Amino acid sequence: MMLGDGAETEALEAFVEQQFGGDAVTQLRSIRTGGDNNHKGGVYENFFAVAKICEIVASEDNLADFTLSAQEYSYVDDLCLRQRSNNTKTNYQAKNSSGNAARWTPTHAERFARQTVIDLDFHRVDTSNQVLVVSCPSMAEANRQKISQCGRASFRCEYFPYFPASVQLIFGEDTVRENLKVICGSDDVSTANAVFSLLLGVWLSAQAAARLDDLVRQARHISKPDLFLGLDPTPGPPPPWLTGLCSKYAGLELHIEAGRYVVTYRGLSIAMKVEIEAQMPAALATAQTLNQVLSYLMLQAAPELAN
Amino acid sequence: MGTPEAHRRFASCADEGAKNALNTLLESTREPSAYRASMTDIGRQLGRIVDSSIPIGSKCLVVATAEDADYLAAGVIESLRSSRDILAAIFWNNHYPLNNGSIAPVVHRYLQPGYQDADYLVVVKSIISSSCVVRTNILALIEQISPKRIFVVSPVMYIGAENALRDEFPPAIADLFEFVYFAVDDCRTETGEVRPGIGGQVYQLLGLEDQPARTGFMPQLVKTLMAL
Repeated sequence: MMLGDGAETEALEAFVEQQFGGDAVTQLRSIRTGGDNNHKGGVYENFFAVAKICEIVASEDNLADFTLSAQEYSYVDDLCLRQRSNNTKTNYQAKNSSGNAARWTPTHAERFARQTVIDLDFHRVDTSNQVLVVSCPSMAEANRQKISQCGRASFRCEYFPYFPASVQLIFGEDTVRENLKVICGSDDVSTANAVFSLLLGVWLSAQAAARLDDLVRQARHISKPDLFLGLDPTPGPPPPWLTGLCSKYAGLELHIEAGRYVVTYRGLSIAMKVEIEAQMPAALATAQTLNQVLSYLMLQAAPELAN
Repeated sequence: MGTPEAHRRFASCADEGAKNALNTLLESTREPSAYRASMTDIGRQLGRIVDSSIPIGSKCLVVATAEDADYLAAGVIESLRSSRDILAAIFWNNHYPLNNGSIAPVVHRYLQPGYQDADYLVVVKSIISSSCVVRTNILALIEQISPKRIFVVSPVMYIGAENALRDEFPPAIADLFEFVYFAVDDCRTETGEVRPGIGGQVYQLLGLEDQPARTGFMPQLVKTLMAL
């Protein structure tokens, strides 16, 4: 539930008051106010959100099954992940701190417990998980020890590192790097960083709960060229005219890399979409020199790059 | 906005020759051939400064975009060439804005055979504003090369661009950066153009239609290196 859903907000507050008393409503509103002041969180929360998006995109086939939102009207409100097929809701509270802010306390336990009741009895989900995310590994471990003492299997603490820039995150967090590699179909870190920026951009623009298939569709739409080719089926063999062309000139070679046909010549790499003409284009058939061939192939990228 | 001079601070390495060359560049914005010559001259001057920091006999990889290859980068290469093994890496980037910054993915690339053995990277860019293109091209190479230093070379930088670029990278890479530039400008338009900068959009000023990735433009430098 996002801010502005008037009737639902009232219904939720009524539910909270009935379950936990009037002070609980005041507490919920104060959490809401804190969230509003920092909508979509800071760098840490947003990088965690994009890392979570990458994790799901890299590992799940049915992205429409997942919805992500931030700053819901909730006790655990930094990030909320819903999975429709198993009616599960997982809420994340992110704390970029190694100090008291990240330390598991009875207040966390109370808020997590209340959120669980809200999710199960108000939102009617089958499973509700609450996760405290902290940027200090030793604090994460200490929190896990404390959480295990409360005996609530649906409460967790996860470690996610803080880095001030996406490049540093990609270099510093192997899981993020590996997931981006799957999405890009390439281990090129410049491509990985561009994909991370694209996903961050669409995540920051998302006004409400966003389905992951929509987020990826939007990110691919503004990706020029499309850098998400790891999500597509492996390309088939190139058309015979292209292989024939490459065999015509000594040193001209054809590869499939990162979901594209790549023509190389003495250090030059020309990347082409795999959706190319089945027949040799007329302009190539009349090309007299290798220079003309290379220029023509390079130009094939242009339509994909236009704003 | 005040006078262009009011928005410019010259670097300590910018002698009269460099200042004159930057002025000549700004006076050449209506004449691509003069603009190209001026950019090449600035490249030579910047190259001479870098030259004094790179040991004789080392292997040096000059990294540039396709639009800068024949002018700024060619000038830098000219000044570095003696007694060093100079290689080139040329990128066709598609640079465009996002709501959270900009990206410049590499579309095509030319990596001169043997580039992996380079001891020094000299990353050349006609202007550094968001540093997005420079960041991308360093990232595209950094895992294949172990440079001792990374020179980031540009006639003009936007204020704060140096720290912004350093802050993007892990310290192990950022510590290798050395910036060589003649001027820092502190004025930038809403569209991201630095003023006075280099006088506008480099593509048109050099007589190119658009970004080379969108036009299939092949620099002469690459043709020469491929013996095409």
